[in-house]
Amino acid sequence: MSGTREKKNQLLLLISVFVIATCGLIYELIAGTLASYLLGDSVTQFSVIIGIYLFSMGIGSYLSKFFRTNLLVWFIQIEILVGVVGGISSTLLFFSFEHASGFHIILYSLIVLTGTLVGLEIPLLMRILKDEFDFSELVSKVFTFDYIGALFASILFPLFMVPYLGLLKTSFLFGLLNVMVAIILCFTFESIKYLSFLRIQAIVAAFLLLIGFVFAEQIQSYSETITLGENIIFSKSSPYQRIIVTSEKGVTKLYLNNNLQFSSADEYRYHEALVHPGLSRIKEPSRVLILGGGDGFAVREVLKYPTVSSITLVDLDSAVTSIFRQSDFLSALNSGALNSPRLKVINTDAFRWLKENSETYDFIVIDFPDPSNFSVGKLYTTSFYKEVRKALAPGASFVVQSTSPYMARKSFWCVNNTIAATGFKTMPYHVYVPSFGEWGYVMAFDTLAAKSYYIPQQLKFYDEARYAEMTTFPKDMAYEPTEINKLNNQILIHYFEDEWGRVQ
Amino acid sequence: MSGEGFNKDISRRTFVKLAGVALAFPSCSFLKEKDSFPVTIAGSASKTGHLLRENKFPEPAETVRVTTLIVGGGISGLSAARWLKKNGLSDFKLLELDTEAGGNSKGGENAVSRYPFAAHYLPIPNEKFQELIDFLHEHAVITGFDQNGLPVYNDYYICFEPEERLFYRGLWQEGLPPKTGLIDEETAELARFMKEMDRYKEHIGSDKRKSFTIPLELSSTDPELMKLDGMTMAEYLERENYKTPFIRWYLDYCCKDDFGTSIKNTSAWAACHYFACRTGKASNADASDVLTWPEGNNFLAKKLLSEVQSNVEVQMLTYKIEQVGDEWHSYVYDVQNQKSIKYVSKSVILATPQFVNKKILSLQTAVNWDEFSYYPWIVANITIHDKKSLNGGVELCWDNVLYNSTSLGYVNACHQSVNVQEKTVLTYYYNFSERSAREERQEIYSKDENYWKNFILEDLRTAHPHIAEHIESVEVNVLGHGMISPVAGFRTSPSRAKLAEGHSGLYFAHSDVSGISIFEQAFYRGICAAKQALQSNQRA
Ligand SMILES: Cc1cc2nc3c(=O)[nH]c(=O)nc-3n(C[C@H](O)[C@H](O)[C@H](O)COP(=O)(O)OP(=O)(O)OC[C@H]3O[C@@H](n4cnc5c(N)ncnc54)[C@H](O)[C@@H]3O)c2cc1C
Repeated sequence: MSGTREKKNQLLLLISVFVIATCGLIYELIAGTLASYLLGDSVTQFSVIIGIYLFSMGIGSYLSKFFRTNLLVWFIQIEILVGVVGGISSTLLFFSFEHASGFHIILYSLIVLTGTLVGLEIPLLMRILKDEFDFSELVSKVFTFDYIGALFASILFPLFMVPYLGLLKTSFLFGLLNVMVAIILCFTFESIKYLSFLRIQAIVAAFLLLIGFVFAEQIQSYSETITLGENIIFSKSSPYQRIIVTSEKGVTKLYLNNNLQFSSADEYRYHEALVHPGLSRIKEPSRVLILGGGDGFAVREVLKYPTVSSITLVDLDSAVTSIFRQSDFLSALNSGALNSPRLKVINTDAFRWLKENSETYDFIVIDFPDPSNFSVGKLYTTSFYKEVRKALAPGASFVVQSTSPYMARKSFWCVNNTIAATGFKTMPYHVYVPSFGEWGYVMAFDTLAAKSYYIPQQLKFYDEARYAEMTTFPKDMAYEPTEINKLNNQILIHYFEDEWGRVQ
Repeated sequence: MSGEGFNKDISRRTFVKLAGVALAFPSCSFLKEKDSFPVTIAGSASKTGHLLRENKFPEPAETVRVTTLIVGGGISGLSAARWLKKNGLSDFKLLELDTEAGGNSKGGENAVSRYPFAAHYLPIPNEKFQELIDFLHEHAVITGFDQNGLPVYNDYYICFEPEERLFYRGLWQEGLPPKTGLIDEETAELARFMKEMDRYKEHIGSDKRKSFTIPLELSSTDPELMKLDGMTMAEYLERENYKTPFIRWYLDYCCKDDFGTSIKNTSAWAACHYFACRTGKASNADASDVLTWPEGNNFLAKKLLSEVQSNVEVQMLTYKIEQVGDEWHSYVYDVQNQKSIKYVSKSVILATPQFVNKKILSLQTAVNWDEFSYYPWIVANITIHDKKSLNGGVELCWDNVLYNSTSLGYVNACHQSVNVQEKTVLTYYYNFSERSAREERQEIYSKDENYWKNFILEDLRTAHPHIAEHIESVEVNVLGHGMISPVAGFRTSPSRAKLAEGHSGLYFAHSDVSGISIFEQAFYRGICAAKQALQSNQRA
């Protein structure tokens, strides 16, 4: 009876070898993968990480000689530690990536720590088992299990874990397995010291890892919150984008896909500069079209012109236009503009709408997101501006938000040059918006009045004197020749990627 | 795992426990992969075509007289019809066996998009191919000409960026061949090959003609160049000492994609033609650009059809053609009314492939029909409800190819739409040419919906592990005889020359007369045959 029991225990320990080996390799693979995801250059990342990991295992093996008594207790304790450290490693790395300078340090410390702990495991285990088997038997058994585990991990990881679970879940899962080994061991060997301490520890660890596993997705999306570092008062994923509104110290901000769209502290600068230089030069404007700008700020500015009798707002995302209309908090910011009886809101794709449109307008405001991907890039092409021309009444003009001429000089001038290549005269200008920096716009027309006809009284920033200032460009933002952005080259998004990529 | 001293029983129990832990987790999504979308197999036309094999048709109930009869309503037949009409002949009929004209340039449509059944694009044409330029201009594909006389193409028809991506070593890379990701040897060999092809682009043969051009018939017949037709592309690569697997894969992909067979069969002349003939100039596009539409070349087929609609009759299977005196008698089975009609005409334009002509022509001829090879294809239109799920590294492109897969990847049918949309249709292509065409054909005809579903999923999962969850439906087109393949020796084949010559009142228009299956050739052969018929009508 006691013989079988002993055998049972031996077997359990050998199975632990298998699990440990699998988990150990998985942690190494996770670190390597994450490092190549986040830092790029997978070959370097992988080799450095494997090297450090193996070296740390060496350290662990070396340290194992200092453990003299209570080997099984130590082994179980180490299992729990490995499980916790390995289990949370990828979450930790994801979060710490935001603080780019510390990332390498955290990455390598984690690897050294995990490697050392994993390196302790096998030597300790062999010493635990040394009296149960003869030496050659022991070495052969332990290493067989060790290498089978490694093979298992290396196959499982790319084929199942990464595609089906993702990195966060995978590390929680294997952390959990490590801790399960500890739990099973401390419920099997009931005669060891510190038993209840180990049991409680192991169960708490398992519980935490399980929670991590279940909520991995939420954790991932929480990391967005961390990036913004502000209180989120509203967040929603529409079919088109992730909308986040934050509020901190009385300042409200809107982020679409984590890009800042406005800050209530200074959005008036941006929106006054967007609307007034152009609209004030139209004689008695009556019909205005706004493409994009679902937050209603441009509408608010246009409503300041008494002659304007109808505004059409075309924005893709009904989720944006509806919160800016319905929420008291947000519609206070745009002075309830989206509820104006003079406004008609259409939620559809602007390009398609424009292609089908047959009406004309006295002024068109084009306020799209920056050209950071191909679908938005289409809205900055010659083909798009040709469609815009069809919607212009005689003597009408339009304005396009055109990213920052300081941060993305080529992109800015590319927008200008593309509009010019479509047969318009242009007037590029810029303004300083504290939360964005230097920002640019391009006005386009066939003829432009030299002076404004009418400027609304209540403006906080714009007046005729600003115009001259805004339309002169200092040397570091001065004109540059560029290629023309077309549907079949989308050169603008390449410029944009290059320029903003450098900044970020 | 049953080594000595090892207790199986316990090992199993322990493992079951561990496995139980894994199973208890709620979100192991791989345990419930959804692939319950509907799959259908299209192909009523091939069923009608197979009536030819049984060859049991009723006696003709009536006789119809026309000056010229066109058999087959693919691009070549439609182009011939258009030419006849343009040149003042209106007393002709075009008979097509399918429910609509178009042939390999047919298309379909569902709630999400239009999509092609086969042909997807037309490269920027040779600006000196006047008939083609005129046609495109008449239908506003060309909107005008710039001050240098170069055509200005409609912007919405020139393939948008991003055009191509390759799933290579686990990542999507931009471009095909990819702009990044290749190792130095691969880049070097590719550059060497492209340099050679660039040389051919400029090269003039001993007969003072361009070495490679479109129409293909106007290319040089310089004996030096003709030597290329005597070898396969695989042999050429061997001879020129190309070593890297990448270039072999890439050229094999190109040959299958454009010629419907692998480098092991394709004539090296044809492969070089593919790379060296594209020198078309345009005001707002490059020679490497392509024109494309959601419905692919069905857009062009419809434009051709619009000019000759009243002369076209569908669901008309021509099953026998014979010469009687100066006249031609064509026997036609009216599929809908299940009766036969005899057409009597001065001339016949056969715009049907040679594997059909072989069966329907009662005529002594020197043509060796067996020289014409057609490998089978499947083309599947896959409706996806979450287009974004296909991004990754590089956004979804027009053409999306998987390295080392035996498929030809997929084209995004909605690529040319300017508006943001969540859904899309992917046109997936697979060419079967590893074994003989006959064996491949037998095999693919025996497969059912479920087989194709798994076949396609397995391939696409390498790049999109979760794709099954995003599929709404799949429509598979099984093409038993896809397109004519320009196998080694095709360019110098006497049979092709014979077909091009025609036979006092009987003329051949199908693209396989020229040996390569592309829109331009079908269009060109249609015009050639129409010109021959018009001349012969005058003589008669
Ligand atoms: C999968 C695939 C992809 C392709 N992609 C492209 C591409 O992207 N670009 C390109 O330029 N080309 C492409 N092609 C080539 C395409 O075949 C040509 O562009 C062109 O459509 C060929 O036209 P055709 O008239 O020569 O032949 P077909 O299209 O073969 O026309 C023959 C017609 O004859 C009819 N017919 C047959 N037998 C009878 C009968 N007995 N009685 C009456 N009618 C009959 C058929 O139904 C058919 O309509 C592709 C081909 C395939 C198979």
